Amino acid sequence: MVGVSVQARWLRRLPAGLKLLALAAISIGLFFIGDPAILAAILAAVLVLLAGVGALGLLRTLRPIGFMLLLAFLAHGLLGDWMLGLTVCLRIGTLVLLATLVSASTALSEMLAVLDRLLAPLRWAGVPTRPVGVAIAMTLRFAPMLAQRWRLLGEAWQARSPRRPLWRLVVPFLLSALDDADHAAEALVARGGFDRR
Amino acid sequence: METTVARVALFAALIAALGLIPQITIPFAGGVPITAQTLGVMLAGLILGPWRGALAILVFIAVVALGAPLLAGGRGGLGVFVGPTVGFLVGWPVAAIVIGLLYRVLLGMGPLLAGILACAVGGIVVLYAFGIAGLAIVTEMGLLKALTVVLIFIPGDILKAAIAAFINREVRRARPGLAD
Repeated sequence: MVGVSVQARWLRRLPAGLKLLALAAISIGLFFIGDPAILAAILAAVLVLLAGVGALGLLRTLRPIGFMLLLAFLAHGLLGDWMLGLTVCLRIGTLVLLATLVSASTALSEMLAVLDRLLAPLRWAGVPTRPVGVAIAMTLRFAPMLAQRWRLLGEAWQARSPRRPLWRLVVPFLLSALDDADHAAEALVARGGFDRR
Repeated sequence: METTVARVALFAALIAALGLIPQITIPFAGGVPITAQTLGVMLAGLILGPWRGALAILVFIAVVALGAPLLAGGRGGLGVFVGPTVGFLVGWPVAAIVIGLLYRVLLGMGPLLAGILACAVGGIVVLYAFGIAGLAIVTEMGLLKALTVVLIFIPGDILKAAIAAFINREVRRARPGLAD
């Protein structure tokens, strides 16, 4: 997922839970390091790791937050504390790269299994957790379906009118999507819904 | 129960789709997307009500955390939870709850005005409180500095509040039985 997937065998084979725990530990650890030199060394190590697993393409995930980082850097710099600005940017950059690496090297099914384990205490307390998994699966299915429905409505409009549709389609689009959801719910009930194990 | 799950999933997917549709995601200075996704958050609170609306957002956030690149600009995965905009993500479910509750309270003023006010308070005031706090913590900027950084997004969000309120009124007019 996350657009780039990392194929390095050893990284993919590490259990997802282990990768997530390591990520959490590193995230907390980095917030206690205030020395930009050490942070720069860690970032360099992460870059070497990325290059080692052939995932330098992940660097482009930094682009969307680049603007915010630049603003933070300038804000600190204008207050006369360039070092703090540098520290902050190095820390966030490192964290975002590592977290993205975990996502890019872990299959969705493994992540779902971890989520299921995290929800286990709820299950023991008698709260049914199956709807959570179903809702996530339905969301993944609905998302491309909605994009397609929007395109269809747009084409239907264009076949009938030379004007641009856009906002006129929003309400019919939502209504038909709501109907789709209710049909899916009926289908779910017809197949036993959440009552059956 | 099944209807709730399906509608929650639908709105989670809607928030995702709002991030995907290219003509709505406008790349702004330096690549920060002005995202239509807050529009989805507002709609979830208005149409689904506070609790189901918040559930829809939690499902969406879970899907992003699992690795789907569904945030505006194709972002996703665990990286967004350590990035500078994490406060906004945390604030989304709270915003939906505030919007849903406030809408019910204000409904006497008519659906359009109630919708706009609820979205302005929940989707702008409350959401930005979280977003600014998150930005200040992650980047170690002062709160005031963080506030000035995010100010550029506010005009767009006022527009979104009005659009969400209008859509909500039209949807409820067409489906009066839409229970919440």
